[in-house]
Amino acid sequence: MNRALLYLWFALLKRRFLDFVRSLRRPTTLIGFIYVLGLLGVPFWFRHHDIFRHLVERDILITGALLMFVGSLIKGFWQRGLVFEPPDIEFVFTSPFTQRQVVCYRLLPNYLYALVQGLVLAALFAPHLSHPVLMAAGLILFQITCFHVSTGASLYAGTFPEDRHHRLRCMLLGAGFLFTAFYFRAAWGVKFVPAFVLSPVARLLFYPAVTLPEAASSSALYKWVLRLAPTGSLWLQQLWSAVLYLGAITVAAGVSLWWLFRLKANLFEPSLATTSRAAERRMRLRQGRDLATAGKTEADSARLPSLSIFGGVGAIVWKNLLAARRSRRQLLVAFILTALYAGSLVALLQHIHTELRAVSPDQVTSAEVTMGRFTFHLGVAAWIAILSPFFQRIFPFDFRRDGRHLLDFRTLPASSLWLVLAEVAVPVGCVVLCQAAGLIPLLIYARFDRPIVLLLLFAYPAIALALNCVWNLHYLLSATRQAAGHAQSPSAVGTVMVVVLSFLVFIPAVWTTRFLARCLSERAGVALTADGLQGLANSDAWLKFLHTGIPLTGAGALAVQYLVDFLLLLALARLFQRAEVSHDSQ
Amino acid sequence: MIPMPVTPLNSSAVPASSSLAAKLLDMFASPSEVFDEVVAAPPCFANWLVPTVLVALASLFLLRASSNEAVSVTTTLQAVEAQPTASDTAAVQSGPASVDAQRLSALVTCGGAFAGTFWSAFLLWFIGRAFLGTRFSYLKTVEVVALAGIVVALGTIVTALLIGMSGDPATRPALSFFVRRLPSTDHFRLILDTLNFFHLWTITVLAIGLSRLSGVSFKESAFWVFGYWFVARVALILLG
Repeated sequence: MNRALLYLWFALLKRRFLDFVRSLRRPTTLIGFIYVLGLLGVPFWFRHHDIFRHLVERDILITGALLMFVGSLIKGFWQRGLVFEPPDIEFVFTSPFTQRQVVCYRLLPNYLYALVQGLVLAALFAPHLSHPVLMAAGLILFQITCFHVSTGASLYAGTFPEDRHHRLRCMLLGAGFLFTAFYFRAAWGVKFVPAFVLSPVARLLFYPAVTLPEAASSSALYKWVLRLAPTGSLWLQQLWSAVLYLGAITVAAGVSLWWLFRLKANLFEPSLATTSRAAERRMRLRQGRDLATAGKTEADSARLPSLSIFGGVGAIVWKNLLAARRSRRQLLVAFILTALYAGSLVALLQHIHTELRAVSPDQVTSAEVTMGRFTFHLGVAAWIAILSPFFQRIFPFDFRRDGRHLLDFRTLPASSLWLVLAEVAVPVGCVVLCQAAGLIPLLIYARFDRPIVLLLLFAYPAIALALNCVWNLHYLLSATRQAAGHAQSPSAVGTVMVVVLSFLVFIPAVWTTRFLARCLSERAGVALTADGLQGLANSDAWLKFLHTGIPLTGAGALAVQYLVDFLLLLALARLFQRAEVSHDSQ
Repeated sequence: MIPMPVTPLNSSAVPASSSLAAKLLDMFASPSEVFDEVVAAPPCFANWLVPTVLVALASLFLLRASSNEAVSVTTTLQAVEAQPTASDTAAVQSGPASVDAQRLSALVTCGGAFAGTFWSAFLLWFIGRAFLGTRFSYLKTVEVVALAGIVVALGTIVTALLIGMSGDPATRPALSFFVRRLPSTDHFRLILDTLNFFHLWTITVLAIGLSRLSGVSFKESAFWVFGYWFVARVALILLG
């Protein structure tokens, strides 16, 4: 081994390691790394379990070794020559190194991998091994042998012309599969072949190396036909009618294809326009932009209203309101969704209250029914709140659309907090407006106490604001990356993190609710069960708790939620302020 | 992606065209010359229809011979037992069903000859396309497979004659001929059954056909043809 190559490998390894450590600052990479560590940690934690003893049994080890060997051989033969880094081609290949030295240089990462793998496996199985060190050494050396075989196979494959190599590797794959199947059948008794494959009928698949009448006169085929054929004397007629229908449909398909081919219409010009539109839509989707404006990007200009509220950063609110007014598709979707849920809600409330009217007045005013009505209406209110995430996705009049204007926004003479507040104002308002369509009939039917009504009126904006803040953090990050030239669609892990975070932001309020509810219910003499508002024992005490305890609990939770919202807005403003959006900054 | 070479159909030295009967006869002696001629010539409907019909007719003949022998064996056994049992009654009742079964067998035999030809042609075409990396006409492959069927037809007639001679409908011109006492489901007998002289001949002819169609060496085409039509069958028996 050449010392220069050894130094080069070590320097590259060190750089990669440091790059990897630096990449852990990215949450998605960190999560992935923690996930891998967890995957290793869980078996290590349970390494004394019996299953690990079975894994180091002789048969399993032999099978594993065989699979590794065959896999290495096939994997190696699959590629002609060895894979190097592009800079290696430029520098190592042109330097005065022998072929042996270059091969050793290429094998160094494999040796390191074998070393790490051997040590990890030995540590994992050490409790069940009489000679763990010997086992580790054996594993490392066997892995190294496999790498040698793989490398040798790659180099050998490189001696064949490309088309012949393509043919040979298919042969090797087939032979390897057959060999492995035979091994599993002989050593483990694993049956890969279902019984019907051995039947005479299945032999027809090997025509012409079959005796046709042998397969044709098999009882299995006859039974199969009998099972398919309907009983009775009409089966032939039914068969013919089925064939007739099938034939008619086939003829229809053929005739329509014939008509299509004979159609004298211009294929290319309309297709060109459609293809361009489809490509633009795909590009907008990839860039995270809205599809609705893909077709129409021009609209009439509108004057800024003279209202003072639309001055300063209020102009952004006005701009987003204008964008919302022009986004007919979003408004239509929101309207349909609102109409559907509000209509069904009104129908449900109407039905319930019609049923209640049939009950005698004494029963209606009883504590049990009051409790039931209150919890039902509170449940409906919670259900309306749950619609927030869906509505939030419908109104993209925030950093989703304004991500491209970040640089312009940075030049505005406005504080970042007011600016982000203006950005999220329109979607929050739209979401609350849609929820109001359900809330108003609920308030009419439920006849809540005034404090509860106030709580509900303040609760929905808090929820919508929290959700919009969380998602706008995500949109702002994506917009920053795109503005900096990293036009990547958000990763699945990133999206899952946002979804999880959009639930987590409500945890402080939920905890506050639980804490206050427990304290106030104890003071009121109400025994609350673990499942919250159900399972109440003392109805009189509950009514007392209803009028005083629940409003106080709600107020506390709402205060905490608004505090969380404020912190989220601050985080959003901070991110907006610190985001590096220019190409040069990267 | 490896570019697939297109096998030239019109080579510089196009063999002289011969009649179908001559082609069929030449298949026994020099199949490679027949295939060279077929590959170079334009597609011909009769090239695959006539041999396939011959295979179907020969198979019907074998089916008839096998049925006769099976009936005679059953009759002998019944005569030896000479006691009417419930199974006899059932056999009488199942008379029409047996007729149906015979018709069905004849239908499947004829249909199997045609379907089998197209299926085998598809397999050869697929092997050429996917594993050998060459392109050739599917219709030409059908012709090659169908012409190879003449060996199958001969094998079928020989099988029928053997059955007639031995009186055992399970007799085949294979190594299993020497172990007829073993049950037909025995793995050893099934493997010996695959060593059928005419089947091996047919497979060899198919391998020659594939090598002519794809332009690869006989060894390479034989690997895949024997791999599927022989090794895969043996493997299925051993792995089953």
